[in-house]
Amino acid sequence: MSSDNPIEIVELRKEYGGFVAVDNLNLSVKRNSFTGFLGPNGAGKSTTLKILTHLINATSGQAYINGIDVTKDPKAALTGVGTVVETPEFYPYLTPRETMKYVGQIIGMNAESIKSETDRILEKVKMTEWEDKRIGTFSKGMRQRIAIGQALMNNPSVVILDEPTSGLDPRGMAEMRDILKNLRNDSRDLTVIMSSHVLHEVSDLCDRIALINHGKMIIQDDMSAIRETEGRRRMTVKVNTVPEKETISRIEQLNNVMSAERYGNDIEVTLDGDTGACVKFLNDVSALNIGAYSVNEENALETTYLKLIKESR
Amino acid sequence: MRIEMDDFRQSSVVAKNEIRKFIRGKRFTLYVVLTIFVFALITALPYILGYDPTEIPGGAVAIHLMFVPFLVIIAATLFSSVAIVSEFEERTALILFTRPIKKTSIFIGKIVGCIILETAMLVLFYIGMIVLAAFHEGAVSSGLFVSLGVAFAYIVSTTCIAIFISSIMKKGSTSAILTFFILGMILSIISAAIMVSADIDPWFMLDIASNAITPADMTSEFMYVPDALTAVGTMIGWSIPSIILGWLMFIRREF
Repeated sequence: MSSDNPIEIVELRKEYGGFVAVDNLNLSVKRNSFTGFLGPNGAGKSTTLKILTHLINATSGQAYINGIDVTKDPKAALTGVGTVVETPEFYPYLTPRETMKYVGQIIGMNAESIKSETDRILEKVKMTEWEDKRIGTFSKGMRQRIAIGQALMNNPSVVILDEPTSGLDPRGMAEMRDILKNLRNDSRDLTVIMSSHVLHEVSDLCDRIALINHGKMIIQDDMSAIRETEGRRRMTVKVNTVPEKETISRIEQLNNVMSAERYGNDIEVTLDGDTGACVKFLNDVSALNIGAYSVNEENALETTYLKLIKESR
Repeated sequence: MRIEMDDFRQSSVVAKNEIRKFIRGKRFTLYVVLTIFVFALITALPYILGYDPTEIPGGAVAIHLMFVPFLVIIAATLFSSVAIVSEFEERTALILFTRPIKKTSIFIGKIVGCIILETAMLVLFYIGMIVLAAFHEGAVSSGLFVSLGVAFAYIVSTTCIAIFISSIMKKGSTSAILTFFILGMILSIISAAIMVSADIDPWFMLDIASNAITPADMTSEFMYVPDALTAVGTMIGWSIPSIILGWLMFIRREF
């Protein structure tokens, strides 16, 4: 196993009767990466992550975490791993502090470390105010924050997240994204794999992508490389007045611009090129002095995702 | 399978949490209230009906003892029968099972937690009986302590059976109902059928073994009561296969 890949899945297979949920899957998750694990419903994402967290057994193949095969020695493999699988429920009679203590005791932390870690984590997931209230009374968003919190006990080197924002309201999703962003920014030695259906969330958080369909790997690469596969980018330019024909025409004449058209009060631009072309476009638009105050790239990941899924059918 | 000291430490953490879970739950309150009510009712009835409790055949606590198996069955139904299935039904397994802990440690912790809680309740009931016996008779029969030992063995065996049922069921309510019917009715029906049709004493049946909780000198002559050692042996005999099957089902069970 490569020491650069804390998670390494080799020829993993899971069958339910005659149905193949995971079909000889191979996946490598690079150290210190935040990998988005994507695929349509029924692609095998959750099954793979459940095997990785020892909730279900593989039919064949290996799933290594930090070089230890979870199918052979789950206790050793899951040491130093934090997990949030689906929307877990907590013991409703426990408070967040008691829950952290329980998890800390299970993983063998001493009382002093449990206390200091609990203080740090409850602060991080913004649950200090409710630390002594029973979880049974909490909203789903609050419970999911506790779920992230317990996964971070004892500074894990690997975190496995299965749709961490699933079922949350927009506010809950935003809070969860903030926590995950901070996690990515704060941690020097942390490898995260996160399955999700929310592509803009994946675009925001992840630096690598693994896309599966029908239990098979379609592509795994850096986010930037995946974005480049489409070749074209769609940009939205916002200007401080209603865009005039002349403004649109000036944009159309810029380098790498394939087309520009008005869309409501915005201008939608199709750009041919890579990230460098985007940088140049941003500079060129600023230089035009057309009152542009925002240039956004539309979700390139979505276009690529849909294309790759269609091809893999 | 390699067993380490850490596995036992983790089992004890699970057991403590199991006890805390039950103590903070409504089932425990219900059980405590029911037990106190049963004890108070049996104790008060002789006075209400106007006779001397020491005149009860078998002594002042003979009737209390007859209800011990029933209290053990209720405890197994309320606590042990949901110990495993609730982790799956309430999705708390997603937190516990994804941690670096062997399923066997979880299984042992659950059983030990249930047994400790149920035994603690039983000991309190026996302390009540000892006080009552001392008050009415001025002494405590050694049979009461033997009875406590047999009752403990009965707790272990009912817990093992309930945990086995809990390991295979998908819903806590189904598991509880099944546990209650098996321990409280089905075994008794089978024992009765054996006695009537085969004309033998079914000492090997768990419900019959539980008759030994009431010492022979305190029971009716028409009731078959195996001796304490046979009863404990029978209870162990029921516990071992139940616990092995329950463990096998649990470690193979997927979320």
